[in-house]
Amino acid sequence: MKKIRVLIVDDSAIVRKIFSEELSKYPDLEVVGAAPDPFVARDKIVALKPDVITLDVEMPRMDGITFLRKLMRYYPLPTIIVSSLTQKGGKLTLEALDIGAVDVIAKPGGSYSVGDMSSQLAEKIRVASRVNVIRKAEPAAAGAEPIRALAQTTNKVIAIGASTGGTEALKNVLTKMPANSPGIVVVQHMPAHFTTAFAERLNGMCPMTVKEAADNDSVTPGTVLIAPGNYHMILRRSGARYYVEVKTGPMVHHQRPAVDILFKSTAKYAGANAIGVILTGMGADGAQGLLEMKQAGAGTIAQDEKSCVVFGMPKEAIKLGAADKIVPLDQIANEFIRMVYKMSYHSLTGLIDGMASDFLFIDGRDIDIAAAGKFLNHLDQILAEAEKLSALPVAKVSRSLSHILGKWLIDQVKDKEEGFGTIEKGISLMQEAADSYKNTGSYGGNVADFIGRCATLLGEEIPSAETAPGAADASSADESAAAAGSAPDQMQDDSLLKDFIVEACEYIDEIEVNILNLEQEPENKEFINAIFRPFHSIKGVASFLNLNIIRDLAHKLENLLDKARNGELDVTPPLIDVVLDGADALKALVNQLKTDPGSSQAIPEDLDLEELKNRIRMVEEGEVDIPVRKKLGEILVADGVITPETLQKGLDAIEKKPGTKIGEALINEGEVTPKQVSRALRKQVDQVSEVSTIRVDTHKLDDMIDMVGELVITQSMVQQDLNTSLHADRNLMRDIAQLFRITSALQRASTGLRMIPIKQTFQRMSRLVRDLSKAAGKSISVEMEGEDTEIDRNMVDEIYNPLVHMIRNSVDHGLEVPAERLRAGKSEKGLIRLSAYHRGGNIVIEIMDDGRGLNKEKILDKAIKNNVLQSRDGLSDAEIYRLILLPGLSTAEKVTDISGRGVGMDVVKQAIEKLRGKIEIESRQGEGTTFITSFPLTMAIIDGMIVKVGPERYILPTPAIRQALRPTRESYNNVVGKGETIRVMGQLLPLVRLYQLFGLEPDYKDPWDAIGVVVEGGDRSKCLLVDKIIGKAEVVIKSLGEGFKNIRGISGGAILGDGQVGLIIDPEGLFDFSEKQ
Amino acid sequence: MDKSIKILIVDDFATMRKVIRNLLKQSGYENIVEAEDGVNALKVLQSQKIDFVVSDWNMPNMSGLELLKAVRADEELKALPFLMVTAEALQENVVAAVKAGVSNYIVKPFTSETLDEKIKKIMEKI
Repeated sequence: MKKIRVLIVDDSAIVRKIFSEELSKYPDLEVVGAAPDPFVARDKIVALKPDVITLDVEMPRMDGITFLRKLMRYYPLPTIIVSSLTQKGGKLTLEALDIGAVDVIAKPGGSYSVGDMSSQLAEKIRVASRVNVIRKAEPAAAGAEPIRALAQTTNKVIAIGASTGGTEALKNVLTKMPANSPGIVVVQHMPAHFTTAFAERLNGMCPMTVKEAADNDSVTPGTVLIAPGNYHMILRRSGARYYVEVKTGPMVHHQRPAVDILFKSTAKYAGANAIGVILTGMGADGAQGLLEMKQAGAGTIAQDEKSCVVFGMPKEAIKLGAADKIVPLDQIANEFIRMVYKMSYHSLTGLIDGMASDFLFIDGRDIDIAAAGKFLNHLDQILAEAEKLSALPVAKVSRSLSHILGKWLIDQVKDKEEGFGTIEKGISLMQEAADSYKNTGSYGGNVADFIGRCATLLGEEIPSAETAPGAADASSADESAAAAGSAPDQMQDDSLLKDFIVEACEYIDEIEVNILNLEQEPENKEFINAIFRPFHSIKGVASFLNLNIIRDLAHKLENLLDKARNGELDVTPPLIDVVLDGADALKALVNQLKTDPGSSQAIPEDLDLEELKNRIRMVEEGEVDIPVRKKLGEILVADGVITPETLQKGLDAIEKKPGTKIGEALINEGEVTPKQVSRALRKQVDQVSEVSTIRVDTHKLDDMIDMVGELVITQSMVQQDLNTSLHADRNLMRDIAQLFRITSALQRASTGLRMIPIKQTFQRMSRLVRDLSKAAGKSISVEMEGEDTEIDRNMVDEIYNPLVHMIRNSVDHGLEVPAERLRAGKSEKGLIRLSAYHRGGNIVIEIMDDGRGLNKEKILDKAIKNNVLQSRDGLSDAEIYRLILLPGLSTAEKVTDISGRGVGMDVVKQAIEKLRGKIEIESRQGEGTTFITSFPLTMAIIDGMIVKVGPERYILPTPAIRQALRPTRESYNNVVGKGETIRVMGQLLPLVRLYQLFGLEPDYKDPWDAIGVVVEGGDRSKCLLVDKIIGKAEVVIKSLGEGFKNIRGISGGAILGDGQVGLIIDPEGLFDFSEKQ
Repeated sequence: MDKSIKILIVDDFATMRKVIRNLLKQSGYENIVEAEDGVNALKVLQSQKIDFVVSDWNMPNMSGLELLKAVRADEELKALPFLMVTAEALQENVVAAVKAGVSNYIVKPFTSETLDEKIKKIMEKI
C-alpha cells in the first residue's frame, strides 16, 4: 500500500518534532519532511511532492494565509490547518478554510493531549489525501439565485450537519437563505473556539443573523445557531418556542458536537415541522439522526457526491434511506425554500381541498343552513391560515365567500344561480392560488375580477370584501322594522296586551335604576347591556302586538345603546338624558295603553316624539351638548313681552290658519312689535350657537385662572403705587384706569370659564329622588328651578354629598306616606323643589319639600334632654330649627324620634362650612321644610375682612364673621378656670387674643382699646381681639406650599393690594389652637 | 307531520314566551315547556326529553348563542333541532348562529305560518 506523504510546515521546532514522531506511529503515513517557514516549505513541496501538508497559519516572515493563497492558486494540495485556540488563530483558520484548506486541527494544550490530537490528525490526513482539491473558483455568486422572501414560518426548523469541507458548504448554503428564513440549527464538526469566529464570519456574509449557540437560545426565524465546539447541541421545545440546550457529554462518533444528537432531538421535538440536511463530511455521524427525522415526517436532504469534499456522511445517510432528496450543494438553499413552502402551505391546500369536496356533494344548487355553517367555519380556518402565511389573495377570496354566504343566509342573494356559481369559482380560485404558493411561494394571478363579481352579485358599490356590512344591515334592519307594519293582527289579544303593559313597566323601571349605575360608571359594559336588553325585549314584543310607535322608539333607543355598547359612542350626559327621556316616553306610551287599549297608534298630547327622535339621532351622530331649543313663544313669555294667555291666543290663531308662524300670528294680533319678535328670534338662534364648544384640560384652566389672579394683584399694587405718587401723569392715570377695567373683565371671564350649570347635579338628584321614593313607598315629584345657574366645576363635586344628604332627609323623613298626606288634606303625591340662584357672590341652593315640617316641641324636648339647651324660652323659630344641626341631636334614631328629620345634619353642616357655605332652615309645621344653603361660587377666591394685629395683617373669611365691636370694660370678665370672656348680646363668649396666639407685639393690649370680632367656627363662637379692621377684600387664595401645609388656624395666604402677604384664618382650627394653649 | 313534539321556548320576556306559545298553538303544537334564560333551558334539557328548541337570542345570564353552543357541545343534545329567534336579520348575528350550528333562524315579528314552516323544514331533515 502506498503511504500518504505528509509535509509539516510549522515555525515551532517542538511542534515539528512532535508531529513527526506521532505520525510515524501510523504505518500508512509517512512524514516526508518539515519546514519552519513558507519559503522552505515552497522548496520542499516542489522537491518532495507530498500528498498532504499540515500548515501553521501563524508564522513569521510570510504568514500562512498568504502562503496558502499562493499554494492554492499554483499548486493545489490538500492542506490541514494547525492553529492555536486563540481568537486570532480562529480567524486565520477560517480564512484558510475559505481559501481552500481542507480541515483544521487544534494544537494540543490544556485537556487536549498530544495523544488525542495524533489520532485525529492521522484521520484527517487520510481524509484529506482523498480529497479532490480544485483551484478555487472566484466568489461563488454563480450558483446563488435570488430567493424570495418566505412566508411566516415561526414553527419551522432547519437542521444542518456537516464535517470536512462543511465550512465552505455552509457558507454556500447560508449566504443564500433570506433574512426571514425559518430558524436554522447547525452542527459543524470543529474544534472548540473556532466556532465563535466561524459564526462571526458567517454573520457578516449572510442575510440571517448567525451566532454561536448558547444554552437556552431561542430558535427563531432569521437566526442561525451554530453548535459551539466541544459541546453538544440539543433542540427542545417549550410551548410554541423552540430553543437549544448546549451541554457537554460523551462524544458520539468521536465527535462533540455530534450531528446525530442534534438530528435525533429535532426529530423528537420538531417532527414534521423540520427539514434536515447532511452536508459533506467524513464518517457516519448524522445518518441515523436523519433517518429518525424522516420517520418523524421531516423533509430530508443529502448533499450529492459530486459537490462533496468528502462523500462520507451523506453516503451513509443515503445508504440508510434517510434522504428524501439528493441535491448538489448549489441547489440546497433552494430546496430548503421549496420544502418550507410545501410544509407551510400543506395545511392551507388541505383545508381548501376539504371545502371543495364538501361543495361537490351539495345537490340542488341550494345551500342549506347546515351546509352554510360548515362552509363558514371552513372559510374561517382558511382565512386564519392564509393570513398566517400572508397568502393575501386566498385571504381576500375567502373573506368574499364568507360575505356571500352571510348574505345568502339572510336571503339577500337575489340571483341564487349566479351566487352558487360565484362560490364555486371562488373555491377553485383559492385552490389555484394555494397550489401556486405551495410550489413557488407566490401567486401571480389576480383576484380583483373575482372580488368585483362578488360585489356585482351582492349589488354593492365598493368592490372590497373588507368593507363592514354595517351600512347595508342597518338599513335592512329598518326595512324589516318597517315591513313589520303589516304584522299579523291575530296577535291582538287583550290578555297579552295586559301582560305586556305590566312587564314593560317593570322593564322601564329597571332601565331607570340601571342608568343611575351607568352614570356613576359610564365605562361599565354590564350596565349598558342591562339597559339595552329591556329596550330590545320591549321592541320584540311590541312588534308582535302591532304597537308600532313603541316598537320604533324602542328600536331607536336600542340602536343608540348598541353603539354605546360597541364603543362607537361614549356614554355622555346627553346620551343618558336622552335614554332617560326615551324611557319616560315609552312609559307614557305604555301607560296610555293601560287606560285606553285602543290607543296604540296615537301619541299622547304632551309627548313630543319627533323632538325626542331628533335628539336620539343627534346624540347618535355625536352632536353632543344639544341645547333643547326653546320655542319662540316661550322666549317671548319668559322675557315678559307677552303673557301665557296671549301666547295661547296666538297659537289658536295658527290653528285656524295653518302655515302661519307664531311670530307672524302675534304681530297680526297686534300683541307684539316686529322688533320684539326679531329680538326673540335672535335669542333662539343664540341658544343653538352655544353648541360650538371646545374641550380644555381643567389644569390649563386652573393655571390660567391663577395667572389672572396674579394679574389682579399686580394691578392693585400698581394702583396703590400711583395713589401715593405725587407726580402721577393724568394720561397715565387714565390709561391705567382703562387697563384696570380690562383686567377685571378678564378676571370675570376667566372665572366664568370654569362655571357650569347646576342642571346636571339637579338631574342626578331628581333620579335619586325617584329611586329613594320607590324604596320608601312614597310618591314624589321633583320640580327644578334655575337649573341654568352656574357654579364652579370644582364646587359641583364638593356640594353633591351634602345636598344628597338633605334630599335623603326630605324623602325619608320630611315627606309623608301617601295615606298620611291624604289624611292631612294634601295631594297624594309629595313635592320636592330644587332651586338655584345667585345672590351676592354666592350660589344659593334650596331644597324644599311639602311634607310635615319640623316639630318645634320635639326638638326642644330633645335638646333639653341632651343638655344642649338649658331653657326653652327666648328662642326664635330659626334658632330652634338650627338645633337639629348640632351633633348631640342628630344620630338617626334620635332625630327621627323628635321630628322625623335628619340623618347626621351636623355632618351636613360641617361639610357646608368646610366649603365656606352656610345653611338655614325654614319650616312650617304641616306645610313643609326648606333647606337654604349658600356656597361661594368658587373655592379660588375668598371674601374676607382684613384685620391688623401688631405689624401683621390677617384675613377673616366673611361668612364666619358674626359681628365686630369695641368691647366695654364692663363686658370683660376673667373667671378663674374659665378664662377671659366678653359678654356680647347677652352671651358670654371666650376671648381669644390673636397677638398671643401668634406671638406678636400688639398696638393695644386692653380689650376695651382694641376691636373684638365675633367669629363662628364649627359649632363654637369666639371673640377675636385685633388692633384694627382695615377693610373688606376679595382675595385669591394661595397655598403656603408643602412645608406649611398643616399650620393650625391658618388655611392659606393671600397677596394684598399693597403687595403685602396676609394669612387667611381658619376659625375652627384657630379655636382648637387657642384651647390647647 | 307529528304535532305532538315537545317544544321548549326560551325567552326572558314572559310576554314573548306567551306570544310564541300562542303562535305554536295556532299551528297545532300543544306540547310546550318554557324557560326564562339559557341556564334554565339547559336544566330543562337535561331533565326531560325535548324535541325542539325555540330560543331568543338576547337574554341575561346565558344568551341564546351560548345556549346553542352548549347544546352542540353536549354529546346527548348535539343533534337537537334549534330555532333561533332574532330581532333583526343582522348578518353578523345570523352568521355567528349558523357557525355555531343553528338549525334555522326566524326574525321577529313572525306569523304562525312562518314559524310552522321553519319547524317543518327543520324536522324534515332529521
